[in-house]
Amino acid sequence: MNHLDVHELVCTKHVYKVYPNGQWEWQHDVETDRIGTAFCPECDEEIPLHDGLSDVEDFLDEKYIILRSDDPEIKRKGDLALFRGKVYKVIDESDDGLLYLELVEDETVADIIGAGLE
Amino acid sequence: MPKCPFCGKEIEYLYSWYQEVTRYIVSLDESGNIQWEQDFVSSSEPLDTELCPHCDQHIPMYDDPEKFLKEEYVVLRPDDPEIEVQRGNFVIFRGKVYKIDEDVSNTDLLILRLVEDELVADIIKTGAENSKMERCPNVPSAGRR
Repeated sequence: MNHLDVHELVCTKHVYKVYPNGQWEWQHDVETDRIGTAFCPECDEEIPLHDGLSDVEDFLDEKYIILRSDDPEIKRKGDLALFRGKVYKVIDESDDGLLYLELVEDETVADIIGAGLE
Repeated sequence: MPKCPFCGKEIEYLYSWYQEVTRYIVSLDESGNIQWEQDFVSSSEPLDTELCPHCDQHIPMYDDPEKFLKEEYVVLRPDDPEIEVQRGNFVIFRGKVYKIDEDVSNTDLLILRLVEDELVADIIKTGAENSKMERCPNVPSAGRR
């Protein structure tokens, strides 16, 4: 996956006012709600990012990944996992079997853990 | 100022929520910087409209919201305490004469349209007030005189 499709839903409040002189207008209000959702460009399924769009960059950079717990490419030991030669820390595990993994960026630590996992 | 049929408060304006969806293609460039490319923007669609600013309930509109805000028609509960007199299809509400729009009124809400013809409104108002006086126990009725 080299990109994500992101849909941003923006809800805007409009205020309908009538003035004493009979004039009326719709006004935009400053109050808005923004909901961002990321989708896989291949299968159009939603990518259930933890912190919404703030996770997109790390996800594309593979610093933060989401996998099925039975993914054959994962070697797991407790809260740590080896995936495609990189060491990740399991930060969450959902009831529907998804693992949320965060890259261990300290190379020395990653090497030590990686050696233990292989 | 119109009143909300649900919370009974005066309504100085109505508000609505509109939604718009923007689709982006998000990728990392060769330097690893995130790129947001806007791909599509939908038109603005109404999500929840004509809401009371006090209780956030949707007020059903049977005509232009502008006419509602100008009190050319009102939406009320049938037991609203400010309905002074109801006589047939006519109602006096806050000193003005309204006709019940039977096509859209139901047991929960009355939709009243302002009787704009002053002469007609005065005749109905006078008739309604007279019948109110006739019912008043302090006014001697013809039979007791």
